[in-house]
Amino acid sequence: MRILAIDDEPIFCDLLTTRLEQLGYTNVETAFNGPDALAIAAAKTKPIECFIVDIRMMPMDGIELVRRLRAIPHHQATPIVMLSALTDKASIDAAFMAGANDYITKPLDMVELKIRLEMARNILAERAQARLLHEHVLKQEAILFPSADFDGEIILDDVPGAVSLMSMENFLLKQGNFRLRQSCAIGFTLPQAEHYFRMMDPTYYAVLIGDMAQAVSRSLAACPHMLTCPGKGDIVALLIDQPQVDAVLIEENLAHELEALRLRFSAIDMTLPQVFIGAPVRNGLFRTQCPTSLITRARRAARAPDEAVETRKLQAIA
Amino acid sequence: MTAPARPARPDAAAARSSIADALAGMRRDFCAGLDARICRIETARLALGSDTEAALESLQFEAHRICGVAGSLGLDAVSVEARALEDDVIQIERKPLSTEAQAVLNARVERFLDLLEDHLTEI
Repeated sequence: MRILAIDDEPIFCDLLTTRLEQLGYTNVETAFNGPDALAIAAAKTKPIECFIVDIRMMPMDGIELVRRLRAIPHHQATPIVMLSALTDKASIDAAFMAGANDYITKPLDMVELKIRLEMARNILAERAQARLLHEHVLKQEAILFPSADFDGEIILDDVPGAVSLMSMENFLLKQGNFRLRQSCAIGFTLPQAEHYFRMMDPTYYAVLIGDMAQAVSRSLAACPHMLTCPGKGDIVALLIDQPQVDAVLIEENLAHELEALRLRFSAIDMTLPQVFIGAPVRNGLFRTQCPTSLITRARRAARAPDEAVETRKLQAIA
Repeated sequence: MTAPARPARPDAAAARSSIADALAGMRRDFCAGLDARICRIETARLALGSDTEAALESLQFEAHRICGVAGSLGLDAVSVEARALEDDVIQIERKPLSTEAQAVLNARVERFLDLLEDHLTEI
């Protein structure tokens, strides 16, 4: 795995390189500032496969660097692990929202470093699988029911706040239940998603889910959020630092965004899918559940068909 | 994508020794650079009364950097004291710097500088 470590402390870069070599990662490059890192990252031959980025750097800080790395087309999904002595919540949130996949703190802990890099390797493996699947789907365009997995996650590249399911789970685990009290998750689901999946080419189905996720993201634009599409036509949004959530306003915003999509769908003789919105779910301070259960509960809330009060339905008629 | 290479067992002891040597060398380099860091911190401390905002920013930046590197090199006491100084500065920045707060911060910086000077002897 080709790694680029960016830290403005040359001694720390040396230390990190030594530690990474100790773990068997021998293909490590270093940069002491953001602009140098961007120049290395821009190269398409032998592309960087994982970034380790310090947050506090001058003149460009690590969070801005992550934003710019994510703007490079071939690094939209490259694993980025943030590294900093900072442990404050705002930095962690900002790093994830900028597109980071994981976060470790200084002083460097070898066990943590090893685990985080294994996570990065998993992301790379998932990407490779997704690429293979995509190529397979393109080859199978003529087949009515391609073997793409309806239950599988859909990775969104160009939706603001979109992260992989694994990144959202990592974020929740980093927060813990105590800090999660301020945040909540909202599930959205397309009840007829499977019908659309069977009816459409998987590529178009992914585009459909992406359009819906885009509308959800826009409807939440006023709140810091991240969202993921874990499969089965579900979208889960995590609203960060939102002790009070105006569910009605979100519903109105989403209805407005879906209305904007309506023309596009009617132009291709399609009915805009119905969207169910679940009630916001939170983790209580004394809950014994794993923080990641927030995602499952949000999905369940959106899918509860009989809980009319908890689940709101939106539909724009084409 | 490939899995990280596993170091060959017969070389494990040699590798450990080589890593220990490399870490010792980095620790020496870090200590050798402490005089420049001490100078920057001292300059910031002296500017606390005149250019408070810049001085606090500089103190926090230096403390932050030392905290991350020192802890990773095994200089735990330096790292802990740097973190305490950084936390103090962050707290102070949220409110105007009173004479009393400046005195407390001065004492904290003094302690930190003494600790750094102790490590200068490791070169």
